[in-house]
Amino acid sequence: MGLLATAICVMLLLIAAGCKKETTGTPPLLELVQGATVISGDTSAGQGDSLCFRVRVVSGSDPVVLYKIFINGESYKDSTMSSPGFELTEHLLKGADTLEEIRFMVRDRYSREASVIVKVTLEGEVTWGPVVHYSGIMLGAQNQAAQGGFYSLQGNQVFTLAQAFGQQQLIDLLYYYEAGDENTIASPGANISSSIFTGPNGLDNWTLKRTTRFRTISLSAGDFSGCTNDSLLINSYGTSEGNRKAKNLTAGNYYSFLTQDQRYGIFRVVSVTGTDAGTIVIDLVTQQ
Amino acid sequence: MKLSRYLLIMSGILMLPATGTAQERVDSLARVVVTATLHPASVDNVPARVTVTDSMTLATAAITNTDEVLVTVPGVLVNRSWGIFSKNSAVTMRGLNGSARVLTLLDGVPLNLSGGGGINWHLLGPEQISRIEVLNGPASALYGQNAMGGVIQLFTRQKPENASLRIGGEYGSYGTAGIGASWLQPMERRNGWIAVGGFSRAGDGYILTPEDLRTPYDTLAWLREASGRVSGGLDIAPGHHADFSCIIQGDRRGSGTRVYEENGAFVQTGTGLFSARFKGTFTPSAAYSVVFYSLMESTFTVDEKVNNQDAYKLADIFTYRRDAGMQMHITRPFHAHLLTAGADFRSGILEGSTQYRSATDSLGSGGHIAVASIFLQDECELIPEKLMVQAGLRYDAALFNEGFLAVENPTGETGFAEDTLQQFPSGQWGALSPKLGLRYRFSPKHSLYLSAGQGFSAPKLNDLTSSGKIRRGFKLANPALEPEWIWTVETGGNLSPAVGLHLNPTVFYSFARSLQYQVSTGDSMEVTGEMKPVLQVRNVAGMKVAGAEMRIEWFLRKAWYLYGAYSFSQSLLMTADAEDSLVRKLDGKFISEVPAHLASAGLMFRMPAWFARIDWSYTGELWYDDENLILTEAFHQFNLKAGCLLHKNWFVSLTVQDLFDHPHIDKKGLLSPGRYITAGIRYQTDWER
Repeated sequence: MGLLATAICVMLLLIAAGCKKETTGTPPLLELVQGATVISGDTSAGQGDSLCFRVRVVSGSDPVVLYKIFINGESYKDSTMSSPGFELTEHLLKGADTLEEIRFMVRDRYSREASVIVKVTLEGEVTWGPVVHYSGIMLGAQNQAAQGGFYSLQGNQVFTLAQAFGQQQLIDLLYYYEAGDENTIASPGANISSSIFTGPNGLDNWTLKRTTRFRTISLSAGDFSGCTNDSLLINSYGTSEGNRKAKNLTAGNYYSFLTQDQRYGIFRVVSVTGTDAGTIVIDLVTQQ
Repeated sequence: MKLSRYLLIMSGILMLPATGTAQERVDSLARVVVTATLHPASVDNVPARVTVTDSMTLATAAITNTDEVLVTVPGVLVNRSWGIFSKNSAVTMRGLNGSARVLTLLDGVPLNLSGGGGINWHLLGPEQISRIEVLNGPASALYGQNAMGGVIQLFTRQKPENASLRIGGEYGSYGTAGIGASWLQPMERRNGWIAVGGFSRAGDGYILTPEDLRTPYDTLAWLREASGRVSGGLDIAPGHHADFSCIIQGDRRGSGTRVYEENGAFVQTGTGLFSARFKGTFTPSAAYSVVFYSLMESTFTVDEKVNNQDAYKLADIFTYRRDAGMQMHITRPFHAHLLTAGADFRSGILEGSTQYRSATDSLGSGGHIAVASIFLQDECELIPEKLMVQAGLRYDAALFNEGFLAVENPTGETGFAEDTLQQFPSGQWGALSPKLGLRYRFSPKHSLYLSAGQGFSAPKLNDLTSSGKIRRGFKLANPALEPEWIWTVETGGNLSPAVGLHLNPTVFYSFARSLQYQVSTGDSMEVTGEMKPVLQVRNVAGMKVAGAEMRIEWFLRKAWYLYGAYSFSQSLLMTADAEDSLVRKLDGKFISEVPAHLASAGLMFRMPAWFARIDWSYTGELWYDDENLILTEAFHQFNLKAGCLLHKNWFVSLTVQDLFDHPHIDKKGLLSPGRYITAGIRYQTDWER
């Protein structure tokens, strides 16, 4: 039995060898590019100031699969890929904390890791910004002819598909219905199936697709209607990255969101009617 | 039972001729079974429903894996929806779902691992199996855990009368090719024998996703596998025999998804089974058997996908399960009784780790369970040659310990809020399993049986120790989980109204309690941005199953063989007393993944140098979910196999599964392979004419 047990152990070790690759090999490289308009070391900034970083990543023995940004230990951004390397610019907003530790991190296929930490000290006093409430916003699903389904926070405007096609730089939210995800609020950059919005104005033909991200939250009606500054909007969204779709919406759902131009907001679902030719009514509060 | 007849059967099961007409075979080999009593006994004497699949059926059925032949047995559901490319097969019985509720044995060694309860049905190919016995209904009085719906026992080819060599190859649809060889050699000294065999198979596979739902990430579900076996035996002393078996199997099977990884998502499995058996007689009338075994399975999974939020996900999952144990029993006559007493010991471990590559999460979990058992069985003839009685009682005592769960750097990917290291408290339970059966023989050709027995299934280590995100929410380990139980009362008949015609009707009623069922704890937590329920497997549900089974076999003259099998089962959950309102809502619902109707039929024509066989199987519609909202369609399939002995020892065969090319959609919404054709050629020195 001893000999046989040895044989099986050898076999199992051979199989396990596939998992041991992470112990050898070269980890990826991550660095912040230096320049006049970008931050590459510890600095200070006022609340709401834009922090611009240029991040360069080069893979080691294996492709990079995970890129993350942590702010004070909380995940702020989470991207997955399989890449030999990349270089990108990150725009962050200085929050209200006295000291923020921003950590850029990458991992490769076998979890080899590289990271850089930047400390940003708060300058001046913390102030919260004003908000604006919009009530009874009705959006139509993709086959609803009488009601547009595209929305812009700028001016609280609702557009039809054809109108939105000509105002791509303004569109923050859209509404559609799809089997499985059912009633969904998303944005043009949410990788929506080409079968939803079809024709010459369909999303496949858009040249600018802005992305809004969403997080489901628990909130009381009183907190929502009593929101008078943007602290609730910012804190309820948190620091981690939201999803690109708010799915399976029903009346009473609350979602916090962050638009592509870093504008925070919260919407609540008032009512949902019908499916792909139906409508949804939402109330919304956003930074002014 | 008379001692002389008992000894005759004891010595006879492996000595029966491998040749002869079909009718002679069914009247001899197929009529002697060991699974119902732990010693050879006539199928017409045991108070239980036992169905035998012999080597002739295994050789002539249009199958690519051993489990597929079980569709010919009433009450058995074989879920192998991707055919040869399935990662595994789930075989369930008598209206119960879950492989862990059927005990599967290989030459007496349990194949259900304590870690998860499932079986690796790729361990041995059909050509390595000589015979399968299926015992329907609970048998925990003899076998302990897992024997709730029934027992399936596989017997390997061994102890040949003459040397046997088989070498062959096959080529089939989807670029599938395989080679295999086996050699059995009797030895003149000490009644010895040795068997060596192995096979290797590879296939390009097919795309599982229906065409209208495919994404750029859907790819071929490919296959690479190999298996090897060495076994042998000899008399170590007059009246004492020892044999051993060593089986090693490995495979790697594509999951049908490829994003960035060279091989895409896949599952790689390595399994080893080692056993040594000693059997013989103490006195001319007392026989013993002792088996030592160790079964190990390691699984490495690369899980690669793009989720419904269009985010790339990559994780490496490693699982190691090992069971080792010893079984012993002694059988001896005592006045008018035949007593069998035995003891088992079994130890199982589970170690699992998941490293999320596209996130920082790292999970580890594991545990150990040990079970010790004793049992006693009494058989006697209350009315000689007329009324046989079998009574059995077994006690299993189990200890769960060393359970742990470790989580590092969690994110929304796994749902844990912070680093965690949990040491689960030890737990213990006991199970008393009785059985009583009677068989009355009206005549040498007609008999009826009535039996009542209890079966149980032990908690699985992965339910005891594993936590993490699952499709429906967040699953929480339950170290306090206990066994589930089923009581079954059944009656049936063995009828032979004409020469070569056998009718086997059965009806049964089962009542299950403390079913291990995944329920909501009432809490919820945020998982990847969405609020999901926290779930846990608990002993909450009851169930009642009413069913009937019928099997007909007809050996027509010397060349024709006809069979038909049908089973009906209605499995209803009983959850009215559950604390959880979501579970209470399931009261009266049909249990998921179990069809009410199963049927199969076949016809074979066999001449000395060739055969042709066609089989039909039907699987009724079944509920995919507990709430009975999603009903998957019924489907049926025709299979065909023909073979011919060419010059000398060369044998060619053609196998066609799903003859009319009607792929069906399985419960996951994925396609079966459709028509699958295999052509094979084999050099074989032991052709059975």
